[in-house]
Amino acid sequence: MAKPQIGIVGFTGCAGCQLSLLDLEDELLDLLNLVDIIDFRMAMTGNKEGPYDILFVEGSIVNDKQEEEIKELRKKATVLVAMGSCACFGGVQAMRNYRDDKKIREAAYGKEGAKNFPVFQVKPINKVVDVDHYLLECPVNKYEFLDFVKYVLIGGTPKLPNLPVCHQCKALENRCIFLEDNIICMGPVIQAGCGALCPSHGMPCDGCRGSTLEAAYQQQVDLMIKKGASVQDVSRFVLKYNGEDPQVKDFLLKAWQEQDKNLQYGEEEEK
Amino acid sequence: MTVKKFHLEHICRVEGHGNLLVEIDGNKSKNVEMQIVEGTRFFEGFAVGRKYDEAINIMSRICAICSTSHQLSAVEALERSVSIVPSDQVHEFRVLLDHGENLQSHILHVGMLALPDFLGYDGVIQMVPKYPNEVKLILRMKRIANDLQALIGGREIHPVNIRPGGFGNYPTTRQLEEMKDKLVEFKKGTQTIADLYATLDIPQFKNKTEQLAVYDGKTYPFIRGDIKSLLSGKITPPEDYKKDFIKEEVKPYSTAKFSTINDGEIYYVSPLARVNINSKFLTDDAKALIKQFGMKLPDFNPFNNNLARVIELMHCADEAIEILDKYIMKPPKEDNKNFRIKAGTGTIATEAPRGLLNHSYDVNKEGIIQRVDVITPTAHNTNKIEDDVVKFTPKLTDMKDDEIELFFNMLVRSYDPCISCSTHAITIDLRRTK
Ligand code: SF4
Ligand code: SF4
Repeated sequence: MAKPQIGIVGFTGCAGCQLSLLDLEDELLDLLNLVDIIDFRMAMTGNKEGPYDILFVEGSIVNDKQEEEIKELRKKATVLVAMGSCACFGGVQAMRNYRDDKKIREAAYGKEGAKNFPVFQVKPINKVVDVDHYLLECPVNKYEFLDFVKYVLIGGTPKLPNLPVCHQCKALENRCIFLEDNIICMGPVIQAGCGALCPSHGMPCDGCRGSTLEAAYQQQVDLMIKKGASVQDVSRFVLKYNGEDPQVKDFLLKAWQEQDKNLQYGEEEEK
Repeated sequence: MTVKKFHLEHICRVEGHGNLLVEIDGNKSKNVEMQIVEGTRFFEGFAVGRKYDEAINIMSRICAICSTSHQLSAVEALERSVSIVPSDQVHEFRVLLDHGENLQSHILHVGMLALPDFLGYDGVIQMVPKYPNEVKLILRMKRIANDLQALIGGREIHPVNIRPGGFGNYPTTRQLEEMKDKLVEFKKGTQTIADLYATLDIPQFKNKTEQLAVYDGKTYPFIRGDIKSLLSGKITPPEDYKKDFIKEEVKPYSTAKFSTINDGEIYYVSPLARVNINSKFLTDDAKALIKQFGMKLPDFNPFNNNLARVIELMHCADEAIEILDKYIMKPPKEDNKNFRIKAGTGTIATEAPRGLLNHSYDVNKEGIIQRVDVITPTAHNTNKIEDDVVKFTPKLTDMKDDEIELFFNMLVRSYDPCISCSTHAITIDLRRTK
């Protein structure tokens, strides 16, 4: 089999997912024996724009130009993988989809000036083109990236895990800071795979991997409120990395209609 | 005379999306634009309304490679806003973590992003067949630096272990000892890298402009201190950074802001600025490298930033070993986790791997953030990059076009611009207003 041709490209994010791949110091040289990296602008010059057997895409789409670019790239890629929270669910910047975007712009440029700036919803990759696979975490979990490449090399189809962070946290015999110390933790509704990294440091799960399938948001929120969270606290905890995760969005929009009027979901592309 | 136009689109081996446009007329540059085209993300906008302790993780997403700096700056500034005073132990562990980031960012830059230019390769990947041992050493050193970040911060990128008042948890004595052994190995590697850099042919170009770095008069500081100007000697407390000092403006071709000081003066921030301002406080082994490289301080050659990075590799490794030694003897105590917060403003000047970084917050008595302002190193430097191009262009007349192109690419890379960083702010395409 010819070596798969791999591309790694970034849209709007912090470049952390690409950097994570460079952090595979111990595995990088072996990996290069198995695949050809033909496009990786952050790391090299002399890049080729496809065709790609696998294209890894970091970041979210924040303007028309990027929307065009990703559509072109999609045509050149056999398999397209969204990598990290920004690409999968919009990332932290998707929080602004829930704000009165106009106000933010007016604060910076005044009422008249603000009229000149286009409003654009932060979009995860799958809102613009088809995505074949998702690699989670902020930054992307480099070991899940490696697993994915291995699967592809042996011709298998990798599956998304579907267990909450609590599962891994319990297996590590961590103290549950949510139940025992009343520290709000997102572990019950968030996809495992990070090895319960934050709870293992005595810090609450921040939710960077997105929801498990059919996550029980209502139960989670009931427990948060029982542990002393206010309605505002709840929206802030739920809305961090995953504004465009459909489950988060559905839940928040419903909650907003019912109670938290402070939260707004921006208009679609008013131009 | 014909006008030559160089448009370096999507400069590679930098973090994020940037172009450089240079029009040369005869031997002068006519039009120079450092175009930062990265999409904007509005961090200052959406951090408002967040609680002070949540913002630490959010602010780090401004930039991956400086994520530790952003978290440390955010936590230190936010602590000031709400009147939390961290212990000395916390400060020392923060310095240790920060050195992890400096080591990893610098070895990435000198080893993987800059070195291929000097040796004539597309990237470090392409260097493997001819330089297997060097590449292995660089990867090993990068691993060690990352191990240090992961040990203290919990993860290499976007640490998870930082909170107001201290850390989630601390490493064991055993882990500290293992880390120390690795850093001793790192130091040896640094000497090898220094020996290699001492033989490279580094372009000789000078642009004498003002430089800024954090200064405390006692140490080579990264986290706490005032802002010192190299040429004028002026010392500005961090909270006065915008008081008749730094001004930001928007240019129509860029999504990053451009800054000047003292009403229109171009300046810059960088590892070289730090070495120029604080060389007295470097460790002995780091000072020895200044001699080995034959540098005359103050140095105004932006390409010598690479040498400054190697000097700092030595310094940060030395200091990290010192802190590790201290806490191997006397294991860290748990932090106080209960505090009362007050409303207030907190402003801080820190040194990210690429240079001066400012974070400033207003927080109300409920702990909710009311205002955020951040100036990143690359936003400090955009004017200076354009100025270098203008000043250096007349000296390039003997070069062929592809050499000029490589020269400009190397020049931009020597600043190690962190483009995702520079566009975190509320700035949008202004072309439409005209
Ligand atoms: S997912 Fe996280 S690490 Fe990756 S680009 Fe987005 S903010 Fe950066
Ligand atoms: S600490 Fe968080 S992740 Fe761990 S068991 Fe409790 S709720 Fe779940």
